[in-house]
Amino acid sequence: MASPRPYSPPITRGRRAREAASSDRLPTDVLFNVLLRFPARDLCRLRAVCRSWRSLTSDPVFITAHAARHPAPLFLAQFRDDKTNSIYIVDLSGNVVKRIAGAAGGPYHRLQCTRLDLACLTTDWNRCHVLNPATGAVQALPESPAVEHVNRVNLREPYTFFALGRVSSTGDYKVLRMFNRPGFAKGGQQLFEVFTINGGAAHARWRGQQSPGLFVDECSGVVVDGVVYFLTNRTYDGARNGIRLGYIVSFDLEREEWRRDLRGPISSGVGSASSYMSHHLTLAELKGSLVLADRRHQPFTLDLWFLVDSGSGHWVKEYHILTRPAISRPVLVDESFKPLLLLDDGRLVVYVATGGQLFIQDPGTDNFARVCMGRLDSVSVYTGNLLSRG
Amino acid sequence: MAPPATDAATTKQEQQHAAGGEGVEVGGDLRLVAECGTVVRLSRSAARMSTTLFDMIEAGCAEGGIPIKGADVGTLRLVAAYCEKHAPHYDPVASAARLRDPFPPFPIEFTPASYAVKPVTQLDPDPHGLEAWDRKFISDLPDNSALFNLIIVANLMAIEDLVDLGCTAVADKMRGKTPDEIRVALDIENDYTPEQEAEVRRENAWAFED
Repeated sequence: MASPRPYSPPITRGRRAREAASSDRLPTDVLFNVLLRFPARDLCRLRAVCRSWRSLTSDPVFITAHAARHPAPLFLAQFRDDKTNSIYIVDLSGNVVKRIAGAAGGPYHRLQCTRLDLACLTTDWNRCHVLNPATGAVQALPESPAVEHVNRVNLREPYTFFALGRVSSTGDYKVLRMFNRPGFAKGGQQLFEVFTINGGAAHARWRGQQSPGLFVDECSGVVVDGVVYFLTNRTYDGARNGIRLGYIVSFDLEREEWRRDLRGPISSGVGSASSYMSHHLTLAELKGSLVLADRRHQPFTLDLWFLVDSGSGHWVKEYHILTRPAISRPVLVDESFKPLLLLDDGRLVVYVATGGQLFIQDPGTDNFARVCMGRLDSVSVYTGNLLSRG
Repeated sequence: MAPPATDAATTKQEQQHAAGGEGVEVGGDLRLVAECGTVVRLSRSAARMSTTLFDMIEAGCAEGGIPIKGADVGTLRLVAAYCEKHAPHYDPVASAARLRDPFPPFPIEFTPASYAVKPVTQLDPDPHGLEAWDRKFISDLPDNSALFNLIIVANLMAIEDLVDLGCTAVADKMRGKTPDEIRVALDIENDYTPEQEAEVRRENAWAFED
């Protein structure tokens, strides 16, 4: 005889009896141990088995234990020629773990390269939205400028750059926006604003900031532990102020102010055009430190300098890597070779934007292995947990 | 004054212990007592695999019967058989390392240089036949209940390798199955209403995508 399934099953005598003969059923701590072995995607499917499995796999204790047992890195990826405008979560074997359809926003949106549990998708035409890959929640940031900048920003040609960072002491997520006005000879300017994503309605507005007094190279921006770092714009400032190549400017997201400028480890005399061309500098974040990547074309080398002490500005060259011509060909001057992540065993994951591919460099040898995946338009590191329900 | 003896064997062990003073290794098998009172013997070297028993041996309180609460004699015999089989090759350090890092990072294939020398002999992945024995051990279990009991008792006795083996076996019963098939395999009641189940599937739609 079929009885209607109750919304909240009462503890009947039969049920109590069954639970007493507990050896027939999987005990909870054994279930915990068993479920830990499955990857996040399988667990989300197993949530459909019964209510206790769903609540167990959503429990913070379980989620933490699971993250500890599945430490393999995940990446947010946007694939070239993907008509579905999706954002993908992929692992280093090239497997797609999760697909979030339509999350990219539009064909010109690109992922900002961060190492966070959120994704920041932006265009240089003043569009920015932040996506939570675990829950699918999206927050679009307002396009209107800060009150302080209302008459100074050209919204028809915004040329924006956005950087998302997390302030560890407060847990705030903030976005730095820069409106860029090229044509420096005509008195162009860069205007900076900050928006707090999760600070509640009171802080959810763009706040105008001071400019740093130097022109920054907006494409160089990286965020390390709540501080946004930029290289100075070499075309403009190099010629104007005689500033040496490799000066670094930084904005503190917590205090919302510019910090003291930093001298990079590489400096070469201004005026020698060939010395500009022979170093291709990019900033990156590895293991919580600011890294200056110095790539040269002749010979094919990549040096990684780590900022070990931001107070004294002390840098240490921790890596000297020979990049094979096989990767560099065709050698393009503006080919970016971005260090993305240092794995626990010392291997380095690198993103080469021109080909849209990830490579893994083996420490101690100069071998680069290509990660088998479709070609990327943008990539970021994902540190969140796909079991989280918000 | 000699403590009262419960049976002849115990008296003999206790007399030896008393006579030898501190730190004398008495050396007899351990006597595990199941819930029903039956004794299952376990050699000392096999008992090392149980952290609980190992600690008791070190502390000198593994003499006499050791009750294993809630363990039926059948399960206890299986646990003893597992420990006796694995004991000669038990390496606590390697075992702890394997359990700490059960999912080592995915291997990345680096194409070896053409001049790399290939090894002449292939290393045997299961040199002592333990993996094959484990597979048979698990497949010989009559039902889920026996497997669950095995894990419970192994957990109680802190035999990590056996807990791991048992949990892997349960996970293997679940792999590749739909939620409905899992409910059948593990005798789980579906306590969702159809609407609730649809809601869960919707919430986790990405996981059901193929």
